[in-house]
Amino acid sequence: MFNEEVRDKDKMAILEISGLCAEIEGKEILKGVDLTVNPGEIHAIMGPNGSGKSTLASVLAGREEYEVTSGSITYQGKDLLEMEPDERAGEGVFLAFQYPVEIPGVNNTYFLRAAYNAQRKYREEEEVEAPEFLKLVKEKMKLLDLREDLLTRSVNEGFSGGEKKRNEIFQMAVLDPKLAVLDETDSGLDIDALKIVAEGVNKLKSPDKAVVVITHYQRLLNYIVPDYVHVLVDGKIVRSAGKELALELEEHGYDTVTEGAPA
Amino acid sequence: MADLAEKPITTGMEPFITAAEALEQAEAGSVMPWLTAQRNAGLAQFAEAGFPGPKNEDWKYTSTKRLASFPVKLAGSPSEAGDVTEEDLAPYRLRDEAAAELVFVDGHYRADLSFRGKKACCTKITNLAEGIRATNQITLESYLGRHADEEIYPLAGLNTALFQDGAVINVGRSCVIHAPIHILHISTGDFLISPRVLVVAEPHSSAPIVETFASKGDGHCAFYNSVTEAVVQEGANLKHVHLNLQNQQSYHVGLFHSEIERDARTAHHSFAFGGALTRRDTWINLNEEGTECLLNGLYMPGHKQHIDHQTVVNHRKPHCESHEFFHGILNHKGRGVFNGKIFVQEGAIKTDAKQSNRAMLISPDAKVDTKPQLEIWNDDVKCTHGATIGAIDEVAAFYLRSRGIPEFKAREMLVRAFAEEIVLNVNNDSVREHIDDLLSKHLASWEE
Repeated sequence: MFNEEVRDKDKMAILEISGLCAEIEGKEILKGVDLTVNPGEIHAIMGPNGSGKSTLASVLAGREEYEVTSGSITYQGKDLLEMEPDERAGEGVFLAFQYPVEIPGVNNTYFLRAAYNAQRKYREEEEVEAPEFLKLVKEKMKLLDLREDLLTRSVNEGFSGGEKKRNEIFQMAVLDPKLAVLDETDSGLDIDALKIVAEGVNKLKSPDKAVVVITHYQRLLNYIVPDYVHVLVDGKIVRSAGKELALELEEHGYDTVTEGAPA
Repeated sequence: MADLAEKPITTGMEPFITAAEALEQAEAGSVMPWLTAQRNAGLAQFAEAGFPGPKNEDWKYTSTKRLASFPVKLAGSPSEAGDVTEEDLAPYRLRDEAAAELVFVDGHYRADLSFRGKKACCTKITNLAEGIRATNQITLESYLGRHADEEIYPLAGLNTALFQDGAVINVGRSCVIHAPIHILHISTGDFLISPRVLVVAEPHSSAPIVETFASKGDGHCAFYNSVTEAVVQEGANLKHVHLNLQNQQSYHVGLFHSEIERDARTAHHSFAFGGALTRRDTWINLNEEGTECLLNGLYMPGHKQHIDHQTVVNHRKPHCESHEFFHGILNHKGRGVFNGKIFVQEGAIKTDAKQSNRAMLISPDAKVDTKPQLEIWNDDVKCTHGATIGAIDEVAAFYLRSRGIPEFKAREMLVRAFAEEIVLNVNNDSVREHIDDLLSKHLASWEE
C-alpha cells in the first residue's frame, strides 16, 4: 500500500456509528447509538444485561436477524450496512463471538486458511499456499498458548469454553483485522485464560487499527487498557469517559453511574 | 411378512420370467443340477411375489412401477455386450495400484480390462461365469444362494434366476490383504443386468472389497439387480464398499447380505450418488457372540433422483455390537428414503446397537422419509437411535461468512462437512480418497 493512502486513512475515523436504531422481531433494542472510533484507539462498551451490547456487535458483523431501522455505520469511509458479512471481513472487520459456533466436520486449519485466502482474494491479493500458511498459524498459536492438536480438530467441536474463546482470539491474530469487536470474550474465562486473551488483543494494538471491547465486567480492563469507556443502557450510550469510568462502574454499579446522565 | 403378498405388481412380470426361462434352456446340461434347482427356486419366489406394491410397508415410498415396466433385454453373451475404452473406465478405477480389479461390461467379465493386482496367493478371485463351469465347485455349492432370503427379497430371487456373471472371492484362512479388491460394473445400453457376488472370508482373514456400478455416458437406462452374499467366518474382518455412480436415467436394486460368525466383523458402506431410482437393501445377521458390524451410508439425490436404503441388523446372540450411520443430502427435487431396522432376538443380552440417521435438505423441493424401527425381545440391551431432518445450519454459515468466506462457499463447506462425517468412516486411505474425489464431482454437478 502507498504511504500517502495510509496517511489519508489515518485522518479518517475507522468506525463512525450515528443515530443507530435496530430491532429484532419487531422489538427495538438499539435506540440511537453514536460512537466514533479512531485509528489506534481501544474502546470499551459496558452495560448491564439486556442493554443492547450484543445487538450492537451483531449489527456490526451483519447478522440478518437484526434490522437496522435508522442511523448509519461508516467504516473507513464506506457504508458498512451495505456490505455482506463476508465483505465486512474482507474489509478488515472481525467479531469475536460471545458464543463461538461448533462446526463438526470442518477442520480448524482448513477453515482458517479458506477464510484467510477468501479475505486476500477480496483484497485482490495472492492466495497463500498451505505450508506458508501453516508457518503463520504455528507462530500465532504459540502466542495464545493453544495446543497444536486443535489445528486438526473440527472448528470449536469439543473445545472447552476457554479454548473456544482463545480460538476466537487466535483467529483474530491470524486474520489481522483493522477493527476487532470482542463480544464478551471475557465471560467464562479463568484468570489465566483472561490474561492470554488480553495479551493477544494488546499485540494487535497498532496506530492504524482499533479495538472495541464489549464486556459486562471491569476485570478484563485490568489487562486491556481502554482509551475510552462507554456505558450502554437501554439501547443508548449514556456516558462516555476515560478508563477511570470502568473502575467507577465496578465500585458503584450501573445505577449510580448513570444517574443524572442525559436521557 | 404376510403383507408381502398383498397387492404385488404382477403386470409386467412376464418378460422377466420369459428371460429367466430362456437362460435356463440355454445353459441346460452345461451347469450343475444344484444351480438349476436354485435358479428355479429363485424364479418361483419372484413369480409368486411379483414386484412389491405400495401396500408393502417396506416399499411404501418407492414405487416399483418403473422397474416392472422395464423393457427386458439381456446381453445374452459377452459378444452382445457393448464396448468400453480405458477412458470410460478411468474415473471409476481405484488409484491403488496393488488393487485387483474385475471389470464387467453390461454384466459380462472382461479379462482384457481387468487386473489381478498384486495377487495374494491366499485369496482366490474368480469371475462367476468361470466359477460355475469349473469342476471344483464346493465353495459355490455350499454358499451361493444359501443366505439371501428370497422370500423377503423376491428381487433377489429374480437375480438368482438371471445372474450370468459376477465374482467369487475366497479370502483364505488368516489371509490379510490391504489393497482393495474392486468389482467394477459398467453399462453401455438398456440392459437388465443381474450380477452376483459371493464372498467367503475364512477365519481370521481380512479384506477390503469395493463394488462400483457405473454407466458409459448418459442417454441409456440400464437396470442393475444385484446381490452380494458375504460369509464372514470366525475372527474375520470384511470391509465392503458399495458405490452407485450410474447415470441419471438408470435403475439399481441391490441386496447386501452378510452372515457374521464368532468374533468377526463386517463394515458395509453405501455411497449413492447416481441413478434415477436406487433401492439398496442390507441384511446383517450377527450370528454368534462377539460379532460387530458397521453400516455407514451417504445418499445424495438431486435432479429427481430417488434413493432408498433399507437396513436390517439382526442381533441373534449376546455381546454383539452394531453401529449405523446414515447421512442424506437432498438437492433439487431429490427424494430419499431410509428405514433402519434393528432386531434384538430373545437371549441376545448385552447387545449394544446404535443407529443415527440424519438428513439435510438443501432445496425446498427435496423430500425425505426416514424411520428407525427397533424390535427388542429382551431387557438387558443398550439401543440408541436418532433421526434428524434439517436444513443447512444458518448459524454456522454466518460464522464462516463472518470470517470472510463467501456465502456459496460457506454453504458448500457445511454440506461437504456433513458428507465427510460419513466418508471418514472408511478407513482404507486410497478408497477414502477415491470417494472424496467422487463426492467433489457430485457436488460440482449440483452447481451447474
